[in-house]
This record gives sequence, C-alpha cells and structure tokens, in this order.
Amino acid sequence: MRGDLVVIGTAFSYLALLFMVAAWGDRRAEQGRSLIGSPTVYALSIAVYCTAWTFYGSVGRAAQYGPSFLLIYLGPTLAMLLAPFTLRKMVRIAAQQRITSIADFISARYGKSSRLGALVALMALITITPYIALQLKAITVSHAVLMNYPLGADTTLDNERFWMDRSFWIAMVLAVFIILFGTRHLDASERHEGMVAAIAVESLVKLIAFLAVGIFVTFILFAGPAALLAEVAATPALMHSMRLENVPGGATGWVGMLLLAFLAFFTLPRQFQVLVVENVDEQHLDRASWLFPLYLLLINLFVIPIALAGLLLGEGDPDSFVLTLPLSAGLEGLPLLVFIGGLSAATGMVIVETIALSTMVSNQLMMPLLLKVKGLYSGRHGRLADWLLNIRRVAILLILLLGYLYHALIGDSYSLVTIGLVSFAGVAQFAPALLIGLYWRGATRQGATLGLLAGFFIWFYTLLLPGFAQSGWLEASLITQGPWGISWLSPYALLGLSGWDIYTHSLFWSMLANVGLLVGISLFTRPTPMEQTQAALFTEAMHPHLPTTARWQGQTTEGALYTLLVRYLGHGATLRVFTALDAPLGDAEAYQRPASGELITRAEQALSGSLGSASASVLINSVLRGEALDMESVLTILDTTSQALEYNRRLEQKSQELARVGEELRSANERLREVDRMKDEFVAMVSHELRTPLTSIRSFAEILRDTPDIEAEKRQHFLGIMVLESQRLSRLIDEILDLARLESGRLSLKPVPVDLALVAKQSSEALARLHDEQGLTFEFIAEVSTAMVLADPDRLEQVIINLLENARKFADTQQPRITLRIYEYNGAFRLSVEDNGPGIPVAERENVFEKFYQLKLKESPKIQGRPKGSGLGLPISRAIIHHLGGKLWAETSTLGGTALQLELPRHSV
Amino acid sequence: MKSVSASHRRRERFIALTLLALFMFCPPMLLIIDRLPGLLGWLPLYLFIVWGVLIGFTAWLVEPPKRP
Repeated sequence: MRGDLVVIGTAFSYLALLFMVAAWGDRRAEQGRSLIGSPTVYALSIAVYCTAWTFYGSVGRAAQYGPSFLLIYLGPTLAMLLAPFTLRKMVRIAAQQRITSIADFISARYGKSSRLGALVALMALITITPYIALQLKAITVSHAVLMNYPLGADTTLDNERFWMDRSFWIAMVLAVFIILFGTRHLDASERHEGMVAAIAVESLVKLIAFLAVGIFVTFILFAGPAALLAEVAATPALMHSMRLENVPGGATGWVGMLLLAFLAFFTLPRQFQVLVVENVDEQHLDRASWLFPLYLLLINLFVIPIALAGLLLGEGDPDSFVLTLPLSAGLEGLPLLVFIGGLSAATGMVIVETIALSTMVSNQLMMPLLLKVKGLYSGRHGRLADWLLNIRRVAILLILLLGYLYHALIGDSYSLVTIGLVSFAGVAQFAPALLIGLYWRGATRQGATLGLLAGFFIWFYTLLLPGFAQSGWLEASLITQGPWGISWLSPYALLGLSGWDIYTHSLFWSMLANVGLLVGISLFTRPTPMEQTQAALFTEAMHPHLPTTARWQGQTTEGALYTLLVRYLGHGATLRVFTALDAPLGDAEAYQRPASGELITRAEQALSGSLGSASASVLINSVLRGEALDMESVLTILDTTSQALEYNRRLEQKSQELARVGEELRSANERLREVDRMKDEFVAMVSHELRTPLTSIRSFAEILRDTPDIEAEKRQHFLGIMVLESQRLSRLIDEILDLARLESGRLSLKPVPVDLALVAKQSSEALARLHDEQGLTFEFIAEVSTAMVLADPDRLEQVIINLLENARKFADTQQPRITLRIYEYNGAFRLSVEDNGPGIPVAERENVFEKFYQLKLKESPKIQGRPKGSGLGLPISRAIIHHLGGKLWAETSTLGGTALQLELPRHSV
Repeated sequence: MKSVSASHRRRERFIALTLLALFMFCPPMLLIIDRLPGLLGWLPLYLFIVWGVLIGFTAWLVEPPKRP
C-alpha cells in the first residue's frame, strides 16, 4: 500500500499544486486583483518561521528537553508584541528606501556600504546553508521513515547515491519553482505575489497536518489528554520530563533561549523577507501581531502529548514521533498527510530562504564585484538587466546545491534542532547592527562591521567548530581540554564559564563582543556624511515630515540617466520611472535636458530595488558631475523639523491655554456687556417713566400760565391732575430709590416677629374700598389662625398691597375675582394672591420680576386699556422678600389667571 | 490631537503588555510555577494559558471594534 510510487507521486503532486497556486497568484497580481493583499495572508506567510524543524524537531526537543521547545515560539510572540515599535519602523524604512534584504538594510543603514552588505550576505550564506540542509535532511529522513517503518530510517540512507535521494530531486524541483516565481522581476523590493500565496497555503497545510496527528494521538491512540497524563504519571521515568530541571541550562538557559529566538525572529533572512520586504501595507502588522502568535500556539498545542505518547510507546527517534506514532497504529492516510505537512514546512522555508539569499548574493556580493570591472558598467553594451536575473537564478541553484551538499556530507551528525539553533545563534549576530542602528543615530559603519565580525567569530568558535568536533572532523579534545590543551579557551566554557547550555554560552559571549564593539567603536569614530544622512533617515523613519531621501546636488542630463537605467533595468522599468514623473523621452532635446532632483531620486530608488542600495548609489554617482549629495541639507531638514515639531507641540499647548483664557475673558466680557446693557436700559426706562408725568404736569402748568382767564372749574380740574401726576412722580422716585437701595444692599429692614395673616388682613382691608368700587369679588382665606414670620411689617404690607394691586389690575374686567390665601407649607408660611385674569405665559413668568417689564399681550383685548404700573412693583417686592429670607414667584391660578406666591420661613418663638 | 494621544495610549499599552509577557515568561515567575506541587508539573499548562491570554489581549488591542 505504502508504495514508493504513491509517496513520491503524492509529494510531487503537492509540489505541482504549489506551482499552480503560485502561478494563479502571479496572474491575479498582473490583473491588479491581488490575492494576498490581506492581513491574514500576511500572517500566514510569516508562519514560514515554522519549518521542518518545528514540524518534526519540536517533538524531538520536547521529548528530550521538556518545555524548552516553546521558547523558540515565545521569542517571536514577544517580538510581535513589539511590532508597533520595531517592525513597523523597519517596514516603513524598507518601503522608503526600496530595501531588498537584511544585508541591504544593514548596508543602507551604515551609509550604503558595499563592504558591510557583502559581509552580512556572506555571513547569512554561511549560517543559513546548514539550515537549508536541515530541511532537505528532514525530507529525506521523513521519507525513509515512511518507507522503512518499522525499521529505522538509517538502514538504507547510507547506501543511497544522490540520484536515488528524493531530497536531491525535491531540491531541484524547488530550484525550478524559485526560479520561476522568485525571479520574475528584477526589482527584488517588489512583492513576489505568487510565492507568498504558495507560502500561505503551505502554512495552512502544515498546521492542518500537525493538528491532525495531534488529535489522532491524543484522542484516538489515547482516550484523551487525561488518559495520556494518567499513563505518564504511572511511568516514573517521565514524571519530570516537563519540568524546568529538564531544560538545558535551567533558568539561565531558559532566558538565553528566549532571547535567542526573539533576536533571530528579526534577523533570519526569510523572516526579514516575509515580514519586511513582502509587506505591502503597514497596517497588516496589526492583525499579524496576534494571528501569527496564535498560529504558533496552535501548531505547538499537541507537541507535548505527542512527545509523551512517543516516549510511552517507545517509538524510536523522537524527531520522527509525528510519523511513527500514526504508522505504529497501522494507518495509511495520516502518515502520508504528515509527510506532506513536513514537506510543506521544509519547502516553504527553502523557497523563501533561497530567494532571500540569492537576492543577497546577486545584490551584495556579485553586483559590487561587477561594478569594479570598469567595462561592464561604463561600456555601451546593455542587457545587464538579464545578466542580473541570470546571476540570481544561478545563485538559487548554487545555494540549493550547497545545502544539499552540506546535508549529504555532514548533515547526519546533528539532530534537527541542533542545526536550527546553531543557525539561530549565527543570524542573531545581525541583531545589534539592525536594532541598535534603528534607534541610535550614533552607530557607525566601523562599529557595526567590527561588532559583526567579532560576534560572528565567537559564534563560529563556540558553536560551529565544536559541532565539527562532535561530528568527528576535529579532535574531540578540542571540546574537553580546549585547543592545545588551554582549558580557558575551551569552546563550550570560554574563560571557564561553565554550567550554561552551549547556546546561551555562545550567545552571551558573542553578543557581549558584538554589542560592546558596536557601541564602543561607534563612540570613537566619525561617520561620513552619507552615513550621517542614512542614520538620520533610519532613526527618524517614523517622523511625519521626513524627507524621503537625500537631495541630489550634482548635475546630469536626463539622457545619461535614461541610458543608465535602460542598461540595468531594461526598457519597461525605465519608462515607468520616467513616465511617473512626466518626463517623456524621445527627442534629442530631452536627452540634453538637465535631470531634476526628483528624477535622480526616483532613478536611484528604482536601481536600489533591483541592485541594492549600495550599488545604486555607486551607479548614480557615476553619471553625476559635481558634488553628488547634499548631505547637510537632509540633516538640517531633519534637525530643524524635529526642533520645529517640538516647538509646534509647545506652541500648540500654549495656544490651547490661550484659547481657554480667551474663552474665559470673552464670557466675562459678555457678562459685563449684558450688565452694561441692562444699566442703559434701566436708565432709559427710568427717564421714560419720569418724563410721562412730568410732561403732563408741565403742559397743564403752561396752560394755566398762558390762559389766566381760564374757568375756575377747569383750573381746578387741571390742578387736580397736576397733583395726581406729582404724587405719581414722587411715588415712582420713591420706588426707584427703594430699588436702588435694595440692590446696593443699603436698604435697612427691621425684621420683627409679625403675624403674616394679620398683616394680610390689614392690607386687604385698606384696599376694600377700591375693590367695592370696581365690583370685584374678594375672598380672604386663612387656613391658619396665626402665621408668625420675621419681617419688617411696613415693608411686608407694601409687598402684599403690591401683589393685591397687581391682581386687581389684571383680573377679569367683567367679573373680577381675587383670592388671598394663607396656608402652611413644609414648615413655612405661604401667601398666595390669585386672580381670574388672562394669566402669564410660562415663558414670561420670570420676566415679570424684571424692572420695568410690561406684559406684551397686545393681542389680548382684556389687557388693553389697563392702568399701567411703573413696572417696578414686583421687582421691589421680590427684592424685599429675598431680603427677608423668603421667595416670591408666579404660578398658574386655579381661578384661571395668575397666582403670585409668597413664602416666608416660620418664626418659632 | 485626539488621534495622536490615542495612538500614544496604544503604544503605552503595548509596552505594558510586553513587560507583562516578559515577567510571566521569565525566571522568578517561572520558578514559582515550576515548583508548584503536582505530579507532572504545571509549567507547560501555565505557559500555554499565559500565551493564549497574551494573544487575546493583543487581538483586543489592535482589532478595531466591530461596527454593526
């Protein structure tokens, strides 16, 4: 059943499926309907982090070292938590500067240094090749396990020739895949749509396969996690397998491994590729910051159950438990699915890593060499664009062959996880130059270079070399006694530092040297203007007003730029650069036109995206006359903008404060104006009110003076009017004076205990004659016999009379009615005067207590022709009652008109 | 002004969450959990739970609230 043909057929069918997915993705991208413009696909593509090492090796590591396997995934979880600070910045810089790889990134940061770029590319090549070998090995081993079970995997491996080795042919198929989908455009900073789509699919496949085997082992092979744990608990040898004591190096090893995974997540070339280069939208980082950790959690969920189950059942090599457990149960389909899952994990990693490495090889290693050969770039023979793509294709083939060779030659001596961790520690050496360079403007090229070299050397000495010794290539005494018997140089216990696990030990020393030299040398070296500019552009990348690139100062013609771009990028890409800026070419005149700074910048960016920033800078310089870059200007712009930003921030604070103070002033002014207006109105009203009686007195007096022979009866009548008007005038003046005194607080009231009911009775009796004359029905209701309050009796009488007079004026003209009622309410005494007049609209009720306010009820015929008051009675009454500690307000009366309510607190003896 | 301070607040929350994660995943806490009495040790369960909670928090922080 489990025939070789079936397995090989399935594997290659799966690869064919990947080809189709990738081709589809690329076609959709060409049509402008990208398949992968979604944060979910982005998160899935980051899951290329989970390689065959995760797929097979996690279980192996869990079986051997307990929970320490989780650290490889907790590190990236921490890194993703910091995504808003680090990754976002890296993504933005990469987009601004058209970065193509991590080597390009580091080279660009340190002044577009070709040498630093080449160094990083070379180091990446050395550290990653074993990792690629590891993937190929995983494919070979898993295939062998699948075929040979229940025999061991090793039985046949040794006898095979390479053309019999499935992993060789898979490597070749992958080479074709990568060449087809990874080198479609020369511009490596553009997204490889098809490839990313295929990687996302692979991430799903490996997750499903792993979850399937996990569920099978936990719930079918054993009856659920509880049953599994019960069996483990019954096996004394496994009791401590998942405790910290099983972790190499204990707590120190734990922290070291966490840090290692954290750093490597940023610096693994494939992670940089998917996280930064292939990112199309910064916002996708948001979703990825939780979706990717969730993916990691899910793929690790069943690692411990599988490891424990494998240990319980004694299924051989822990690295193969995921295969051997379903095989031992006699299943056919599940092992095949697991094999495909492992294949996905391995091929996904190989594809992305190879693209990243081949870009570095072509842009950072080959291009600078080519540029050194004068004839190649100054000569007139073109088509370098095709050359470069071919270089990349050859590089892909060579990298895969190198990986295969490594696997075939020394791959057997290491277990999966060991190779992976050695690679991790190697690429982690890029982290100081990368991360410190991202935040510290003072980091210089010399510091970064020396730090990298020292860190790399220590890594090589403390991890790679002893690895060779363990493989038997070097004497084992190197590890045990140190080189030439010098024990303090022993690679696993440098300076006698022992008791740590080898990775933490290596990471500690290499990082110490790396960071130490980077910082130390940077403090004592002077960066070139180009370095300063780039450092500023990198560290200030999140600056909202950042100038995108340096300003070109030199002179060149559009023709020269055009020729340069055509030679390196081909016609299509060149035309895109020129048309994007509306700089049409075609006539001889345009050829001689001086190129604008923007065009030069665009040309450099286009070259950067294809050849790397260092080479692009060299090429642009080759066609410029005069001083190439206006370095000072960028730095000045950056410094002034950051200063300006600070000023802006402070200014904004100040102006907010000012606005608040201004608002307060405005409202105070408003109040003052209102008061002023009221005063003016008051004066106008007073004058008006005084003039009416005065005018009448004066006119009658003039009549009397001018007509001495006026009839006695008439004279008497006129004099009577004059007396009445004079009385009205003096009353008005009394009232105004009262009011003025009340308002200024100079009115002296002499409150004594007084019976409100008695005062009310007296007041109404005083008005009885007037009421009788008018035919008014007056009703006096005292609900309490005595109502003692504290008040000035004269003033209180004045108020009550005023209220009664008011009611009389507004009561119904035909059948006027007034009710005066005294009653107790909530421990106070109230006096209400109600009339059956037209009443006061609710909105006007408070206004009647304003000075000189006259109800404007002209439409109501009942009101017309009424004797008008001075308009001061109610305001004065209210002021007096307020002085006495009471209240006065208007309500609707049960009689239909107005009820004026007076309330005074009860006076208890 | 409002959006700037909102993004500031988000960044602060991320920093706090990272520090929390560091605390939960590193020795003092780790040793405490590892030494809890129990047949097989609580460390793996603890790690998975903390991990899951962190992921939940992150999702809550970054995903905009659903609008109907």
